[in-house]
Amino acid sequence: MSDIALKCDGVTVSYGALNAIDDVSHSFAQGRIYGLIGPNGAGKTTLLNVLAGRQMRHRGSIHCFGADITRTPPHERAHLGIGRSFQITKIFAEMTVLDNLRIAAQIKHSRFQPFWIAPRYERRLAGDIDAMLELTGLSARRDDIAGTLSYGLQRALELGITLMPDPRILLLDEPLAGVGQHEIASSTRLIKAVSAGRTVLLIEHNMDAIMSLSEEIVVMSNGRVIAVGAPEQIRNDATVRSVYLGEEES
Amino acid sequence: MNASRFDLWLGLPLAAIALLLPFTGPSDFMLNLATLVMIWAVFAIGFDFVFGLLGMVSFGHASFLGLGGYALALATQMWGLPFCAGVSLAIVAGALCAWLFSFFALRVSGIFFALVTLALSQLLYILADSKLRAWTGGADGLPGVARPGLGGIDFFDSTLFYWYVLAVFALVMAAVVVLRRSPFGRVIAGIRQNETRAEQLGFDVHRYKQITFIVSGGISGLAGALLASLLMYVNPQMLHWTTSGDVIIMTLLGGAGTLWGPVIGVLAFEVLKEWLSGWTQYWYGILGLIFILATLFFPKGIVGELQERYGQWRDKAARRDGRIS
Amino acid sequence: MSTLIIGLSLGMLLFLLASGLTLIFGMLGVINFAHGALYMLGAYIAFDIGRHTGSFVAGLIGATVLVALAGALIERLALRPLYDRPHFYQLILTFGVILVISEVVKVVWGLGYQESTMPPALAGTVDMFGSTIPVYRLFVIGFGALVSGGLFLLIEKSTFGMLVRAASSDGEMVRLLGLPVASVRMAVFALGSGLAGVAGAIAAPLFPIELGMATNTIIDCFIVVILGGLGNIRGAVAASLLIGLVRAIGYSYMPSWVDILTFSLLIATLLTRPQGLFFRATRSA
Repeated sequence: MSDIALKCDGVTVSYGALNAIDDVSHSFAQGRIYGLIGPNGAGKTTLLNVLAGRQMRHRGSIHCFGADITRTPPHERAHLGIGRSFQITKIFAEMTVLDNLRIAAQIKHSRFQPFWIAPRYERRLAGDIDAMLELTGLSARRDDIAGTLSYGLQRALELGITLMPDPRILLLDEPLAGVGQHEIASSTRLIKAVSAGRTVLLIEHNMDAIMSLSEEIVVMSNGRVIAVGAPEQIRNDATVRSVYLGEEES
Repeated sequence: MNASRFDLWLGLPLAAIALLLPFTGPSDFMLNLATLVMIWAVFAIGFDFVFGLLGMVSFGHASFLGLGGYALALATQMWGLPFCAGVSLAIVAGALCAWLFSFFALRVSGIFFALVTLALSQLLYILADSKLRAWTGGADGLPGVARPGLGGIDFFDSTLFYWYVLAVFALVMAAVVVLRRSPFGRVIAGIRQNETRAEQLGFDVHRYKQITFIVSGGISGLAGALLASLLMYVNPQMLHWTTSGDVIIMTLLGGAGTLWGPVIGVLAFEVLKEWLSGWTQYWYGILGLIFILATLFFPKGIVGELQERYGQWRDKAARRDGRIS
Repeated sequence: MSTLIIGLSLGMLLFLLASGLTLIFGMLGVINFAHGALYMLGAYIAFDIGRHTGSFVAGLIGATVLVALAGALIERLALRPLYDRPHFYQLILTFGVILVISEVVKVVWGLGYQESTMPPALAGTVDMFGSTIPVYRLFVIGFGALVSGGLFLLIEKSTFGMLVRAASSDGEMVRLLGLPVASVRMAVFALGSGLAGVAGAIAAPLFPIELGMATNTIIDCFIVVILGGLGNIRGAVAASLLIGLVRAIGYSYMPSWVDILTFSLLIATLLTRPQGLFFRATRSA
């Protein structure tokens, strides 16, 4: 019986009369990889925002390893081990790749940031940073300004920043979005590699990738969870197909 | 680290000028002008913490400047404290006021942040002009503000006061250099570039902004005390929102967010002012025009644009040498 | 009673002044710090034309037109290149415009303050409801009501107004439809500036005309615009009248507290209801 890493109970997010998410409850077990799929506007990113703390205005509760984090602000959730990557790349565009990872490494090591020049502190971070540069394939580009990188490399940096604090829970919002065909395989492998030992909640539109990566699929539509199951089950589920086919027709 | 090489190349001539000036036989007027430039540079540096480093437009910094000036005046005149205590009080006053402002101002962003700081600042100005007249001397201000009283040196001498201010200015610059290169400084830069990402990583963005605001206020308060001491006078005009506007102009002109930008901006402003007022009484308007043109065509400011050209030149050289692709 | 009339006239004057600012922000998203300077320019121009022609109306019309032109110039030369940049550039640039306008005024009219004479047709007083009320004050109220009505009609009912509202919610679309978004923006800015000019011309007989007007009145404008809601014309009317009445009553009973109260109200509104006290769901008149 594994721990429940994240649990949401009766979460509803409303904008006036419209419910972006409607009474969603689900438990995400520790160490498993979940794929979150559904047509556009289903509420997938909103759910991620709720779990990450970016969307604080909602009904219902969120628990992380048993602790109630409903009122916990996003920066505190990071310290509880929740890491999140964004659909639209959020990196520090004017800094070098190295500095981008440095900032992420800083928060991993200490809440308190020295306001003096601290060479020993910087040296302690160097090992982690080098390892992440290796993992994301960015070693050669360490001194380049992040904003000048190609889209694919920026996505890699995005992942690297997210992973640096070593989060036990990973919320990935369309990590393969915009990635070129020839890079999808390697990117998918990377995600699989970093998912080891972590609880992962992954939003993706690339069906092949998400089906191969996930151990369990959660299907959303119109703000509700309409199906849950193993990838093969979901592939053949009639409700799911109608939801997608319905979308295609309209 | 090309940024620091650039900063060094800019800083050395400035330091040379500052150190050599008193030995070139300048007039009292020149010395006082140079002292004024350094004091306003301290103010601009303090302001740039919020404007350049955090990217927020504050129209409230005149409050911190003015409070610093009044704090020194009151400390030395009303409470008979020594100069150093007065300056410390000024720094604390500026920092406290900034802390107070931050409670209101940090709840809103963008244009509303500018307007809240403007409103708070103007409220303080009105209070100083009217209700707190007993303390502030109202529109007449407080004359006879002291000069430093270190070891019996006569700081009413322009040259000696110049050295004093230069020492303080150098200390402030050193502190800023350290802060910008520190892990803390890197986080601040990150917050400006992508606040959401910084927050999601685990940084308490609100706390960082607050701390930066407080430091900004403290430095501005220090500038206010020095200004009051230079002028030997403090009045509510130091608290007026147009004073905030002036420092915004200077900082933008020089280059917000850069190390030497605020300093160069003040220097350029004062030099232009002196030069222009030499042949027309309408220098303020022409300065406004120059500022408008600068905002349109050189938004990065003097130092910002120079820094970019320098970066491009370095990249070109590196590419030629095959160091980068 | 006379306090009430004074309050209403102050309020209407404030509305004339602030309506331009809120219009420009509502439609263009620009906060024009130089709005008070344009008001000052209007006052000076009206005074000057009135002095030379002896006609108040000529001064009124002249001020409106010339200040509107100045506004169009500012938009075209200084603001248009900045629309792609972060908002604060426009804000700060308009601060620079204050300096330029102030200097122009200094060049033409000098440093001292001017006094405009009351137009003889509107001078004098009437006895109403037991008080002696200056005719000019009533004129200001009436004129203000006329302008606010006209503005409302323009924005809500006319084709131009429709174009402006469309351009403000989706400029790209309007441009793709072949309509001149850039000209519309300039027209709105000219209109807003013209309103400032009108306010200046109307205010000229009431207050000393001097350089401080540029920086003092802009604060009042902000107060009205924030309380009323950025872009909300109806809200601006309500807020102006509120402030006008508060000021009139305040000056009679507790003059030193008036400003403090108004500022505290402003700050409180900015923090709790930044959309304004009279918020409406849609951003139109």
